[in-house]
Amino acid sequence: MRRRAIIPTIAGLAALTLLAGCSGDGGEQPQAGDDVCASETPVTITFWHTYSTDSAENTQLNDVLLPEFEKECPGVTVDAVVMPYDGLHDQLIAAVSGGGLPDVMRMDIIWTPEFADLGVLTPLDDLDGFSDIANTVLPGPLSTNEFEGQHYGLPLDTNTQVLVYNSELLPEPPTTFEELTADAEALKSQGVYGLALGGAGPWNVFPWFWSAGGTVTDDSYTKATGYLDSAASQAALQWLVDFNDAGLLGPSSIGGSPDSWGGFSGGDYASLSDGPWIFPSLSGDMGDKITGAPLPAGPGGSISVVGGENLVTFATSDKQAAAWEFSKFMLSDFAQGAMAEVGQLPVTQAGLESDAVTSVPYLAAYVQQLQNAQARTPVPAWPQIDQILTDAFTAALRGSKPVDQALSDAASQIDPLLAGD
Amino acid sequence: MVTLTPSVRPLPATRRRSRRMRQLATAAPFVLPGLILVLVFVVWPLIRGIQMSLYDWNLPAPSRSEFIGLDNFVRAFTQDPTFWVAVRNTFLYAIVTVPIQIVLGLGAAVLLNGRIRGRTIYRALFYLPVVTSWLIVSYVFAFLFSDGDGPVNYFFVNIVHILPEPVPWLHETWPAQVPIMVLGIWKGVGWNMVIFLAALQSIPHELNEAAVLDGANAWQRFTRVTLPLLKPTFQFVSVVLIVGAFNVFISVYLLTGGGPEKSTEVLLSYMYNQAFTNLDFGYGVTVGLILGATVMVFGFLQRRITRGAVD
Repeated sequence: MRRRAIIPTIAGLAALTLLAGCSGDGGEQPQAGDDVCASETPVTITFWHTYSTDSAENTQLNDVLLPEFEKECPGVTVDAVVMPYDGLHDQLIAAVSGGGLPDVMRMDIIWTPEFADLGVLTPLDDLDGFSDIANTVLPGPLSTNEFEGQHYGLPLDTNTQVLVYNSELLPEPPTTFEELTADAEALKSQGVYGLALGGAGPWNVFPWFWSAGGTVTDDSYTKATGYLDSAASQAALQWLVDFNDAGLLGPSSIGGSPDSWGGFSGGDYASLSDGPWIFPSLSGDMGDKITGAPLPAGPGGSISVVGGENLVTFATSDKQAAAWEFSKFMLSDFAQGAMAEVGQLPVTQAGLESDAVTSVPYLAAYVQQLQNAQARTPVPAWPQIDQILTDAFTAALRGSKPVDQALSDAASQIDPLLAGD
Repeated sequence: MVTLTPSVRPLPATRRRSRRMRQLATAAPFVLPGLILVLVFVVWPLIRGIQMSLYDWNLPAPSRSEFIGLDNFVRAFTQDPTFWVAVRNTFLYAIVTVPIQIVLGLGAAVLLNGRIRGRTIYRALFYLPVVTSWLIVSYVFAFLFSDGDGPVNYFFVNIVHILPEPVPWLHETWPAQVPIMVLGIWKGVGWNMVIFLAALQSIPHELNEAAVLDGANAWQRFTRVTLPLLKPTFQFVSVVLIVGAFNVFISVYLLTGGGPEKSTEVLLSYMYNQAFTNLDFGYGVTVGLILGATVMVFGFLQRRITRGAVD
């Protein structure tokens, strides 16, 4: 009787699709939080994160953090799910429209305003204990959770880029743009590029664009015209374009080969700007040669870009209280310290000064650089702005558009996005 | 009274109806599963898509979407130059890749229809690209066509000296069409070969033998006997290929992402970016519907044009 089995399955599928069609804009208000840890029937919350399956971070989460949390808060069980970063943004958008969002998620800081604007994140400001946490975390990472005067997440970990250099090719790291150019010209004769970027998108270009004196918008993120296309911004991008035209910038910067890590470990590139994750990955091959230093200072100073992840709760979840207990735990000294041991930079000043961080030599440059690091424009339309800037930087570096035109074209495309059209 | 041939005497209307009901009841279990699947996965999304295209779709709260009538269609046809770039690239892809696939597929089929050593191996080799994942071959092509000293550049610049300098294949509008189209053709030839091979093998030997007796040479036999008999196959293949060409997506999405500056966008990648980067689902669906309607019109026209030829 195969037919009997098939029809209910199809009916079930149909029902699922229909259910998914009417996506949840409901969700409950956070309940009083104290009793959820003591509740008799355990509440299970789903936690999406992007720690890779085989990583030390994932092991630390599952073997150290979650057991500790479930001991402290026996009423709540955490179902931690590894989500690959590639395609995750689009997967989230699909989940917003079709249902299936988790309760809590560790998400890239650049997505928080977008999802807050969509109305699917829980504002946290009025929750019990929020202000205590807000007072202990670093203001830069915290600000990436802000949207229209409310906080829609907590910073969970932070990172930035520093100058990662090969000490065999560069015995002393350059501290200014002039020194960088001089070093790169000297290396050129050996067939080595002085510097290479991982691509021409904002994440890779901003540290150099900002350090060279460029800006993207005004301080309140309402306008790009007058900032992105200003004389200072043009000069900043022109500096990078000239550096590239002089044959000093590695081809990975505009998508050529070898890629930045391959070229760096192979000795084709003397330095990169990159995050702390490069050290555990490449020190096996390169040993002591891989070293970090703050970015060389240009006309705008030595300014890097802030990366990292925020911990957000989805408004669609009906387990708000449990989600908040878990969020508070992840910001505790214990959890921050435990993740610092596996290379996740903490978001509290105390965490940054803890042994877990200071005992790792390569993190010193990052902690120092974080004092001079900016967030990417924290607006809902960031994914589109990211694309526009990537196009502009790529066109300028490839010489397919003059710098002034590339930047003014981009500014005029970004303005309406900032205005919220 | 018993009739052995019930069709001789018309049955009363009520009996006819009840017999139809019985037939329906017998057929239903066979038809229903497919029907329900089509309703759920084809008809319902289509209706929903038409509905969404009339709204400024509010993603998290669809019920609060704003009804804007045909504004999305007006925007596509009159206010959005990138839409026309995507239309141009999609048509260009179809115009270039479809005939080349047919010619190469037919050529391979004719060669492998003869008695040559190891033809099974050749057939398998030609068919291999067809069954390989789009995802994987797109990444392979991205590597082959990478900038600077990428394998393709290295071959054309340093070995055969056809190109004076490396071409940024994936980063400029017109060069980027090359890897996208070559990938499409390379991946499609095997399928064409199989279809044509099947058609060639269904041509009776007697026709060729008769043509030989009439003094026809190989070329005449090919153009006068084989090709006319392949007409239904041509029709089938070209319809399928054009629909497939209009649906080009993965290769474009992975090789260029529609860039630089959206200049290599095709309709499906543009639809995807509208929905998932710009969160403009209403407009994305509109682009999708326009593509769907275009494919339907083409299929219909092709049938009309080729019908006479086939019969």
